[in-house]
Amino acid sequence: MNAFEVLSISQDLAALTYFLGTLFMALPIPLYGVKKWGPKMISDGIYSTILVNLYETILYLVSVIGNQLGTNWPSYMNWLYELLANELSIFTVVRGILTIIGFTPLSVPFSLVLTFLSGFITITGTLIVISQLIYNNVGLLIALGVLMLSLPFRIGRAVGGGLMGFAIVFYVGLPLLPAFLSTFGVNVIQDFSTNINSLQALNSLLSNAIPDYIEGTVIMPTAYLGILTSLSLGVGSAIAGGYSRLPIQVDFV
Amino acid sequence: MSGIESFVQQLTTQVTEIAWSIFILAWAVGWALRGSPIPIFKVKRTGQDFIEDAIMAAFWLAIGTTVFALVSYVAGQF
Repeated sequence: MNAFEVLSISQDLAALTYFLGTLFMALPIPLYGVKKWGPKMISDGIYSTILVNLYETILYLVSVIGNQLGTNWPSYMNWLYELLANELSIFTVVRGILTIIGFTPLSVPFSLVLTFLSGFITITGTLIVISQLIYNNVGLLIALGVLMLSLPFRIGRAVGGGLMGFAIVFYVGLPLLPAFLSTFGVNVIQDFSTNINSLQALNSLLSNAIPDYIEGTVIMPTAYLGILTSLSLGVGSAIAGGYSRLPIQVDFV
Repeated sequence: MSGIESFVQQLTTQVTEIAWSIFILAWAVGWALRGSPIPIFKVKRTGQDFIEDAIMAAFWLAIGTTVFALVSYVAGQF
């Protein structure tokens, strides 16, 4: 199912929400708790229809903001794959050294380094998967957000706003991770494996590679993803509004 | 057109039909209460509210039907 099929269903759901609103408004029942859904759902239907029809505009705006901030997805993906290649390269060298020295007292710290490297490789792999998901499916994620927002009785409002906020913020912000790391002087794209020989290997790994990788692939990216998540929560809330109100009040119903 | 889409469209049509029926019912009930020979102001006021709400609902139904049909028509041209 592509984004436009999802949008088509969203448009129909927005119409359904709207007409359910008119139905509740017309009900000859003197119960305010039931009748209050009328104006609310009419507003929701109108708002969802506007969002469905602004889909292309939203995508264009996201792209413009990304360009203004210097977002470059191909370059970012290359950076990620280069990082993964470097980690795998060190992993291979350390594994080779372990095989050569066998089970000796010296092999214990090498095993520890290997465990660390496995963790770094897993984190980088996860980052690649998340990045690919966002890069290839930003349109679909936004369309799914609109679909959730179009559901009657505001049942998908928070999820829809969250999805849209996540897609918009991460599409613009995630490729700026290398620039964020550079700002703090962290450079994880360097070939540590060339420094490794059998005598200096442990010292080189412990003093250079491992601290840099801990900072550059664990601590700083986690902080950066935390910042992006906070921003996406804010954007999601701005799009979806609260439970009882829309972001732009529609007072004429 | 996917199954879910036609299902939602069918549901919307049914809801619209029911909404028009309820509008007529609310209009009739509203006038019945308002014109009833009962000297209780609250009952007559409720009838008046029913009539007002029914008229507003009919207005939004008519506007909605037109606008959504227009949006579908324009979207179908691309």
